Amino acid sequence: MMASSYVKDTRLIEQLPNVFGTLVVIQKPITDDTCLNKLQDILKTKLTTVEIVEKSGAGNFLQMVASDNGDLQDSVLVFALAFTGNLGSKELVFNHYQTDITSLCKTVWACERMKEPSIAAAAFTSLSQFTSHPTGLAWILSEDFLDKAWTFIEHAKSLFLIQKVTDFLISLYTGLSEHVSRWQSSCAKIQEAMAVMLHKIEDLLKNDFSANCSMANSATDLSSPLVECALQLLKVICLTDRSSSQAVVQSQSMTENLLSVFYRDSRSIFTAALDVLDALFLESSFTSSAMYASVLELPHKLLAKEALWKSQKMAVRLLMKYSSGVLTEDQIQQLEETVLIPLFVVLDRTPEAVTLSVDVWQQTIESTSRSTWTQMIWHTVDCSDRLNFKKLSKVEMLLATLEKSLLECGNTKAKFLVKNRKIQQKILEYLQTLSADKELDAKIFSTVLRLMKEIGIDSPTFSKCLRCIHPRMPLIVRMEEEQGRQLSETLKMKMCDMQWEVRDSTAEFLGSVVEIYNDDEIVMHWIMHNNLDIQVHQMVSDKDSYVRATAIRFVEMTLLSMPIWDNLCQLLQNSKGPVEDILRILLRDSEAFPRRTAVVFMKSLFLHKHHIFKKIEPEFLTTMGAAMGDFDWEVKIKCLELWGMCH
Amino acid sequence: MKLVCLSSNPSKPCLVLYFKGVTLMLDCGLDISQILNFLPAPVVHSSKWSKLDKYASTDEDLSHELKECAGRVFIDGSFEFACPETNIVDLSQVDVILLSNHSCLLALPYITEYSGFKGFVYATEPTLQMGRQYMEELVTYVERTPKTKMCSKWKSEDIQKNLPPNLKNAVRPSAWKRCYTRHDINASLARIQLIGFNEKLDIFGALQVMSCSSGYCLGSCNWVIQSEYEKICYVSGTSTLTTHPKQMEQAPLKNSDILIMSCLTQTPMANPDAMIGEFCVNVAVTIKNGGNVLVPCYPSGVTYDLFECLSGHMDSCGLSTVPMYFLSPVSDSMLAYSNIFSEWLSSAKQSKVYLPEPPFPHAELVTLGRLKNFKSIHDGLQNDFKTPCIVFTGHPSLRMGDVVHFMEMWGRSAGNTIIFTEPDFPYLEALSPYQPVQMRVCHCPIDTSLSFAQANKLIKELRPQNLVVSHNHTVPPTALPLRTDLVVELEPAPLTYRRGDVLTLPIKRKFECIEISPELADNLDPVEVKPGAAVAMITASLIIRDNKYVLEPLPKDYFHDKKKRGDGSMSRPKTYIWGRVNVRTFVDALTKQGITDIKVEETEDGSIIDLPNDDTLIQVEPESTHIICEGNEVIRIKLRDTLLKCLQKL
Repeated sequence: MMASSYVKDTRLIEQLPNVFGTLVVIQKPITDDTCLNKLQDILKTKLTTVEIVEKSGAGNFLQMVASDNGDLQDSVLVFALAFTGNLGSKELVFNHYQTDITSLCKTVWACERMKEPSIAAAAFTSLSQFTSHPTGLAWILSEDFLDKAWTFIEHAKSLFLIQKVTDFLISLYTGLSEHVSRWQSSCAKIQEAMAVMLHKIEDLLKNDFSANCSMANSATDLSSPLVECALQLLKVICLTDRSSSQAVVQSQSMTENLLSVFYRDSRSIFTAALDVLDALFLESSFTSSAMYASVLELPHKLLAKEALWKSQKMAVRLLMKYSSGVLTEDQIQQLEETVLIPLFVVLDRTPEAVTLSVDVWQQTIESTSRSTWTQMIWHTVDCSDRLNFKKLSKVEMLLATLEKSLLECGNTKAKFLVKNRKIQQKILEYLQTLSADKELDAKIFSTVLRLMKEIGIDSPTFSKCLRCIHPRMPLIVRMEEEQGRQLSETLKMKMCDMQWEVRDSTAEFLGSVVEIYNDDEIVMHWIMHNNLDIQVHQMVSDKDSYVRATAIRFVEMTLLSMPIWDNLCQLLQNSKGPVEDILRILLRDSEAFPRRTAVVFMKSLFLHKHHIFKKIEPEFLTTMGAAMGDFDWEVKIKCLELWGMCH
Repeated sequence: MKLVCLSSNPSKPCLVLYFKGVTLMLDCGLDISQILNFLPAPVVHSSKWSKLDKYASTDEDLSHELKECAGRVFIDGSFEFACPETNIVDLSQVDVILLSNHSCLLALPYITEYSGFKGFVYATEPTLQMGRQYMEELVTYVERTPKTKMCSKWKSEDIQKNLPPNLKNAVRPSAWKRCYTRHDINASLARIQLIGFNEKLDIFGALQVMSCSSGYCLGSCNWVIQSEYEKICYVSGTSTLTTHPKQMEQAPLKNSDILIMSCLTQTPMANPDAMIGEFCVNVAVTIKNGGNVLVPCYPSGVTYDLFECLSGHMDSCGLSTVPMYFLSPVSDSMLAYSNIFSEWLSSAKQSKVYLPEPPFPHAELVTLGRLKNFKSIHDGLQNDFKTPCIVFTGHPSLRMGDVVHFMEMWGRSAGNTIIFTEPDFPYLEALSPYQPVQMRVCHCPIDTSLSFAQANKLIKELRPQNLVVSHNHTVPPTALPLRTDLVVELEPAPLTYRRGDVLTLPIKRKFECIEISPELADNLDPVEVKPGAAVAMITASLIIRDNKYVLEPLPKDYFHDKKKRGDGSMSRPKTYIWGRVNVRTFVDALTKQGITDIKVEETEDGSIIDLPNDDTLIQVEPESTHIICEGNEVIRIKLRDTLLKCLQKL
């Protein structure tokens, strides 16, 4: 195999000069350049050494492109630039072909074709690849590409191009930082380049380019990619260079410019600015700086401007970083209340530390749309997902919100909350993730049970309720008997629900309970005592095929629990238990789904209750014989597997 | 135009409308909710009811009338019903009774047979036939367990005010009446004349009446009452839901002068679809647990929908073999009628008839033996009774009918369930004499009448000039005082009625339509007074017969004596002058008459013409012309003649 691979590679290399030659002379535009991308991928993996590159005729290709790039198709020129980048990313190859590579780059950079965004983007991408080694870095610095990059940013019209330039600057800065120690003699130049970067970043942040800039037209431009570019760079600088990070922290103008960014409308800019803050958080002098004090005030100020989403995000970041040790108790409380402000509003509670804007939020209850409120609650749950609240109980407030959503409407101002399934589902998803806590679990169970009992509850919400209850089953069955009885009554109601999805979810839930808790005697006893096992078994004659299949799976799970299996046999007054019913389904059910599940049950029966097979041998043989002629191929395969087990 | 309300229950309306000399009664609903004050009438003898404690009172007669049961006081006597108010209106003067649906005619015998009523009654055929069944069921239940004792002692004011609240608050019990007889039913219903939807009826030539489908139940309708220039619409039991009856028609009800509304939902918080779902689930759960289900119900209406939905759900749950029993003295005919009245059904059900298939699945259920109907528990039920089962039976009040027996039989077992679906009777009060009840109690009221939101939407679409509704529908329900959305709203505020109110409706009749005989029309000489309007003088004979107005020529000898005045001189035919004085023309004409020195002064309202030489002042205003003349007769005649020449004459 290796030999044949070698032969193929050799033939590939031999053909490459022809390919390169063809590319150079193509006149017609290439409509689909995916073949070129494919070729690029192949060359990247194959042209790994100088010798191979020589054999491929790459040098000639680079020279031809450099000399005649004016007539080349755009896609071919882009290909050539990308090829150059791939070659130049390997230091040895770069050193060997430096003349050709740099010549091509210079020629392209000097020509009018750099105005084409795709070509300029390819050019910057190739430059990015040169930054992976010192030779490339040195060449880039020597050719003033840094200045050219800034010029491109300020005059760019393409978001795609701006991102490529940003990527170049980031890789350049990263490369420079990594090789500073090696470049002791040129340290000053590098430091100068880095300082220029910082200065340019500050200019971008304060939008000081109004005359030339064609992208960001105002301070409130919703999609100012230049500001995002500056923030991305700033983040990298702060992460990689400690002195720059310190400089940023200590600089008053940088503080003002950075903080002003947080008030912009664009969420992507805000998120990028938060990432910068994350990088600054690592700086040890940050917490003693003026910037830190200003950052601490931001959540409150953003809240005053009704920028709830941002206020919450900021508060969460600060709490996650500083809640243990740095922040005071009052600060922690204020930030936690900021995070949970929407819950305060819907629950008609007054926060203690956040003093302003609550009235404003109260007024917005009636004027804000249902969907907006739903998003706010969603975000509140999401953004504080990993936060460990010290002062407030998020769980308690979410439970209270869930309770309130169960009210018959009219008795709450927050009408949007009543029977709001999206909010209910979000809270249930969160409750599902909580670890066991006896007191909390009791409250959760009580509220979730009320929700489950609602008339007309939809299937997705009901399923989430069950998933919430599932891990708490051992606790629930050990509570007062009334609680367990209420749960069983509710499940029985749901087993008769009008919606087949609800019936199916209930049967699936009980099957899962038996599967997971089959070694918990009290859970098993609860199932038997409330006749849930027999009622699920009855669902094998449900009208819906999925429900029948799930009921069969439940019966399959009871094979793991001797008490339940025996109980079923006793209730059915049949020592073979429900086996005959399931064999009948395998033979006669009109849908394939239950028949497949029936075969799977038989396989489990064989594994766990082998002795029963002797009792049902005649029926089993007849049914299996007929099942081999089933129309459904999955049924036949499972039957064959079962036969295999039997042998 | 007046409207009188004779009923205290907006869902069992009885209204009287006075319009153009015609007295119309709109519905004859019978509110029998006060039957809850009576003890149940057991079908099978039960010692429980005969051993109840008497009401503690010094008056022995009173103690015999009232019994204590489960902490409440009940009347132990023959059932009585609170009829519509009869003292405000002379019912013998009612010309026409319009019946909207079968649940709004139970009081008809009281009106037609005991009040001297001589008029006509109109209803659709399903309303008549099914109404008859309802009446017969009621009478059968009452007569099946007759009680001879009429309780009247407790009704005296001095005694009633000291009784417990349920009896103390009874409205005018002295006016309650015993149930009518079958003879009354037959006589009353014999008066009914059948009409179809959109069929126009002439009422004494004065009004036209038309029914249009209301979508509430089989044959249910709303009414449009029209004259030439006025339109009144009466919206009774109406539903915009897609159930088995024909869909509601809105178009004929639009743009009326008065819209009278009644019979809105009695359960505004309960969505009918959700309630049917809950009903089915509760039945299935009970059956799966081995228990029986008791459904107190009327013999038709929502009961048909319950059969259909429940049988489907039982199939889904694998409970197809569980029997359903339908017990009612009229069960046979009710099941049959439902499949006969196909032209009154929704289009989906009608199309089944053409397949041909029965429009309702209960026909097939009966064929398969899944649904079995009996007249009573003594009608062969014992030979065919299997449990667990579901029993649909009357009466929803739990005071009479076979339901009493089932309550006694099943009420002590927690495995059984009773499900209340009819909203007419508060279920807790219905259960009160049976307490403590062990069986599970479910309340799933299914009321397909218009909800408040639907009613408000309908009103906006119909755009009436004025709206008249029950007072109860303009304030939030007593149980939900904060729900200000559960009211009928309109700007300007609607007129409201309560029992005993006499409303003057804000319609002033201005015009009437008169026909002219062709002979008279030939002699007319119309003069155009403005574009599109002409006036002609006419002297004719106005003939009013059967509320029709006709102008015919006067008899030939009429003028013979009329042409001369009393002094013997001939009377001239009258002329009428009209028009506006053109001041310039008038002034020119005066000048031609030789009047000089005419001064014209323009004022805000018109002009003043001053004739100083003739001591005359003429004020010409848009609506009047005043001539103040101190001059002699000659000038006065000149002025008169000149002015006449400037005006037009008829």
